[in-house]
Amino acid sequence: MSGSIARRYAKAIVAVAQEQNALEQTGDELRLLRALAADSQIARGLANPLLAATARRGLARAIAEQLTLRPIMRNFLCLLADHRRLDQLGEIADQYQKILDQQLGRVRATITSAAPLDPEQADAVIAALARQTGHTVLAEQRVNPQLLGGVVVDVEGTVYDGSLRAQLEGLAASIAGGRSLL
Amino acid sequence: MKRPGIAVALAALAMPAVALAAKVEEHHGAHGVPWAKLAFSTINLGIFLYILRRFAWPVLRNWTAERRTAIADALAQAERAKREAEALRAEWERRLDRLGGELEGMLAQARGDIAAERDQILAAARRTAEAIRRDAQRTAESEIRNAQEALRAEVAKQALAIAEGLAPQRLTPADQQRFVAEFVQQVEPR
Repeated sequence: MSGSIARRYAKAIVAVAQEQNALEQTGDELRLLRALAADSQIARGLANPLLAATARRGLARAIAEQLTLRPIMRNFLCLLADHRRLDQLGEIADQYQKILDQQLGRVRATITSAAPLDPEQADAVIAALARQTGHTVLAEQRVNPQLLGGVVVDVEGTVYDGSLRAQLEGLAASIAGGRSLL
Repeated sequence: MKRPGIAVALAALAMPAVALAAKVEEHHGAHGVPWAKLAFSTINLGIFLYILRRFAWPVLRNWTAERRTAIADALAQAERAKREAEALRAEWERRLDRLGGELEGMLAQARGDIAAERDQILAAARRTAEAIRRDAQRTAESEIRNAQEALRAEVAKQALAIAEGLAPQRLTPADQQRFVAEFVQQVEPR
């Protein structure tokens, strides 16, 4: 239920940002707000049902001023405050990103490798993923030595596992005759 | 009530005759045949016989008639009882004869049933024994299979642990490059 509410607000802000030709900038500001809302103390304050309407609006204005948000985002925050939806900020930011990525033909991927990839390797992986998905790939790189070697890529829930650990585990499983080794 | 009254009256009539006879005998003494006494005795006898005929005879006759009827009834009843007893005995003899046949039939049926039941029990016992044997065989095979799988899993686990231990020491940047290249090849659309 909250997902669909957040999606409705995200669509609304996408429409406004599109009119102002500020899709990326709005996305950046929403990511900033999401990081802010991720703080547990701030999250409790945003979700506090005892706050009066004026207090909620004051809180929204204070946040906007503190983060030097553009008027469009300030107004959006005030709208959320009026509708008691400030606690949905994180979810709205995620939905916005998804809608924006869909509109711009982008997918987000997490590339995890056993050792840091050099730029050529990273480019090769991203290019291969772009050809596979047919979209522009926005990649985030991580390092996990537990993989032993190779890479694991997560493209919006679809996992491509090319790690040495996965190969070894597959080999061990075939030796064990399908029985779990854990 | 009527008869005792008449008897008393007759007895009262007889008493003067007796007294008169005694008086005549005293008067005549021992002269010839005592006719008067004889006559009075005869009258007395006649009165006695009359009383006997009038009162005792019907009672005796009735008593004998009743007695005869009672005996005849008893005899008839005894006859009936005898006939009934004979009929009962005949009926029981017939039943006993029939019972003998039925008993034979029942015994034969029971023997047949026992034989059939014995066969069924033996067949069930054979089936149970076969099932137990099959289960035991399956259990043994399953345990062997489990042991083999556990052994294979343990070997694989040890092999994985050794590979994990050796990988960081043995893998070179060239290996990592090869892994990435292979991954790119796998991800590339065909």
